Amino acid sequence: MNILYVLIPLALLLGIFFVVAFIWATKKGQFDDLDTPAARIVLDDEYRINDKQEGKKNE
Amino acid sequence: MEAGSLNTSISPSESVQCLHCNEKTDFPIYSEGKVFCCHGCQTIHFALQAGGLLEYYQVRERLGISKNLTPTTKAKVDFSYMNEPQFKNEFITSGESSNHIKFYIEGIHCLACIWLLEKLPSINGEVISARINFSNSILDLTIKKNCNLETVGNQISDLGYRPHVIKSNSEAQKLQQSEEHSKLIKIGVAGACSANIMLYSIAIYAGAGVEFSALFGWVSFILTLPVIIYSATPFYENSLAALKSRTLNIDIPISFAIIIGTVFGFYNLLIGSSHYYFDSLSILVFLLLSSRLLVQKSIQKGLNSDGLATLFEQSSVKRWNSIKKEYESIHTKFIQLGDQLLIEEAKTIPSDGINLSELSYLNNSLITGESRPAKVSKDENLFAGSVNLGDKIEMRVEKLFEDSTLGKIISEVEQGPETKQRIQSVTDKISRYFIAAVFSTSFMAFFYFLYTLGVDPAIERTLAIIIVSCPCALGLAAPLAIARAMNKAREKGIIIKNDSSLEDIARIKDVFFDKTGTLTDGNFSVVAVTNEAALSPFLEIIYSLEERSNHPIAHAIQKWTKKSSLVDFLDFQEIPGRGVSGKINDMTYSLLKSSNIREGNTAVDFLIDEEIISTIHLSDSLKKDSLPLISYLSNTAHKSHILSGDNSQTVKQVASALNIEEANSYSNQTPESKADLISQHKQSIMVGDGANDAIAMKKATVSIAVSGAMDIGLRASDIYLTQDPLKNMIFLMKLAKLTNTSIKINLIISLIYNLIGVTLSILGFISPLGAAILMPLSSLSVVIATLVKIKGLERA
Repeated sequence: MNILYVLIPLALLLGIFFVVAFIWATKKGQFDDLDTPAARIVLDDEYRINDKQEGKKNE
Repeated sequence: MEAGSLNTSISPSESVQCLHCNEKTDFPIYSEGKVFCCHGCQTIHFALQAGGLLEYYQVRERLGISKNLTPTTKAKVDFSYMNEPQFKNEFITSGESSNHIKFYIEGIHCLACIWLLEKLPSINGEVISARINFSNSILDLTIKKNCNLETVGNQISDLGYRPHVIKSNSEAQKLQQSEEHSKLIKIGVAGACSANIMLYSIAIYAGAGVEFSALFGWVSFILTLPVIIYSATPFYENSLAALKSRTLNIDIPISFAIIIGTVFGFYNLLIGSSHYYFDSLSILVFLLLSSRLLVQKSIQKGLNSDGLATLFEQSSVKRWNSIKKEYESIHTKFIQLGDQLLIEEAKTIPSDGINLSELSYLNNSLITGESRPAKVSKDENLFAGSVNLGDKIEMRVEKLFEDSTLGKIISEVEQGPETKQRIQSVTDKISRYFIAAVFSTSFMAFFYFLYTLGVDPAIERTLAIIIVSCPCALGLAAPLAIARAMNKAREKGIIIKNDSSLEDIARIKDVFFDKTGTLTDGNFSVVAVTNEAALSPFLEIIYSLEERSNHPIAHAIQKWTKKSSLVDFLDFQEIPGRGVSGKINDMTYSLLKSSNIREGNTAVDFLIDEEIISTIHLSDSLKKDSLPLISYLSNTAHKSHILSGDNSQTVKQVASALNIEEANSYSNQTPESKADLISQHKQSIMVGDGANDAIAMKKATVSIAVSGAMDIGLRASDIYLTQDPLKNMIFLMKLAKLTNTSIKINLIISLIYNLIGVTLSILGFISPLGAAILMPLSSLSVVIATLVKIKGLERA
């Protein structure tokens, strides 16, 4: 079980990496507006008739 | 698909559907073979067509949007002030090759609105890009250096939205943003740490050996540190603030549990016991922070305060330019002392000043609450906020807006001390008893176990009681229910600015109403006519006589006749202060002020050759939802009051029509005396619309603003009803009641959990595993209870 002494710090490092990434993204304003980008993706320039399902899902 | 084909068969005889908003209408407007319900919809449709944006209808249909499509803009607004250099300096932020300007857009209700507004560059070549933030309704435009902003304003307005320019990149906004970021990071850190701690805790519960149990314990402890030192800081801050003001709130027991739990866990870690509690504590912090952010977000979604700051000043006015010898349009922000202004029909006077025109009629109800039009002669004072009911007025500015009567009311509302008599929230009230109960139980338990079992078990069991009784669910109970209710309210166009008002409404029994504009329309209309049959052949003549007068009463009578063709008179005369007369075939027809006032508060006689044929009674008419609202309130044991600046006769009449006791109706009130009356009642709801209610609203426990458009009341109020105000107020009262029951059920559940937990720990049954299961389970049950209660809200 000695491997734990390597894996635990490794797991923690990985965790820290993602927390830092989250902090970076927040500070960059990635989470400031959660509604509009989700809506914008279905409002593309060219309207495709067969796209109805996508539109319903996001409404 | 052709846009026109959305509409089915068109026949003028039956009610038809508007092509733009799908609203059914009995009075359609036909244009180029298309049907519209109003000119607003027609304008928008052709604006779309001209911009090649008819695809809008397909986007809208594809998204399944069916509600609330009628346009916001009703009056044509003059945006030429946007091209003034002063305006550009103030509101445009310059970049290297392009400029930015931000607008708060009134009237965004669905995804199709985003699509449409972001298509702005395709109808205006000077706009480089348009980005809209759906959650706060802010449109950010990137424009070319010499962009014609008037065109932009007109185009947005043509599409059916109302742009309000806002100053971008202010310090306050940046500060608010960084605060929000820090909240989110705190939640992120707490979430990441607690999830990792959970992994190690499961290993401990599953029976990890002594060696690993200690290792995992230390890892958990290290992971707990960021949570208690960084993420949990808001709880400590709130607790300290509460202690400083010598009150108790829910954050005190939470902070206490977090600190004691960590210290105790650390102590156990040192002595080699495996009762850590780190997992439960960090999860608790994570859940509480998340639920609070949820509530905050639902408040912000309803209304963004950035837009509010500039709302009232959002209008233009015509100013005399002595060099060009003509009136030019400017933004009201740039009015200076001594300026000569032209106030057009139905426009609001932007600043206090002197009337330069011969005679004008004004609606002062915003300031005085009086419904009757006020007559202002030459050289008399005009007040900011009054609406011009008659012809164009010329005026000279004597006071800047900040120094005007209205400006002073607004600054008092905004800067005045918070004088509200808040009701203590149920949670805070309960937490007071809760703290007392937990402490006394632990003290008794400690001494009992000290006597029976010895020092070590006594300390252990006492601390277990404190930790197990940690008020996790108690802290979640109110925020969850309130967040849910606020979302529900927003769907009905109810904007709740203060999250505690929902709790307060359900407990207050005294409701104060402003009269003009709140319970009544604020406009004169015909309420009764004597001898109507004799009058009917002369309706066209009456229409034509009143057509020539600019008096507001004349407009009301003219509207009532429902005629549209004009008759010529030989000898037309307008006698100021009396009425009008004209001759046809040697017969003199006249409409003169009557002394015979019975119903209503003004009457006009119709005379043929000096003989009175009929008397027309006029009054400020009740809104159609007033009576149902007052009846609902009296059925639910509420006491309704009327506070009005109007004369006693009018107020008495409205009170009797609404079955409000005479003792509860107050007439001839000034803004200050309204506020005094409110202060005399310990707990009150104030419902109002204008500036004359603003101070009273500030004093009331809960204030509700009703208005069809954004107004000053909005700034002073806790709750703002945007659509069908009085009807939605009934919904609001029901919603508040349901929310309160929901909070109470949640509190009971969490108290039961705590009771079980405490009992078990006193008896010594509580193991680390038991505590770990019991604590999240109590939060979970509160979440489920709230979700179940939603069903009740949906029926409401």
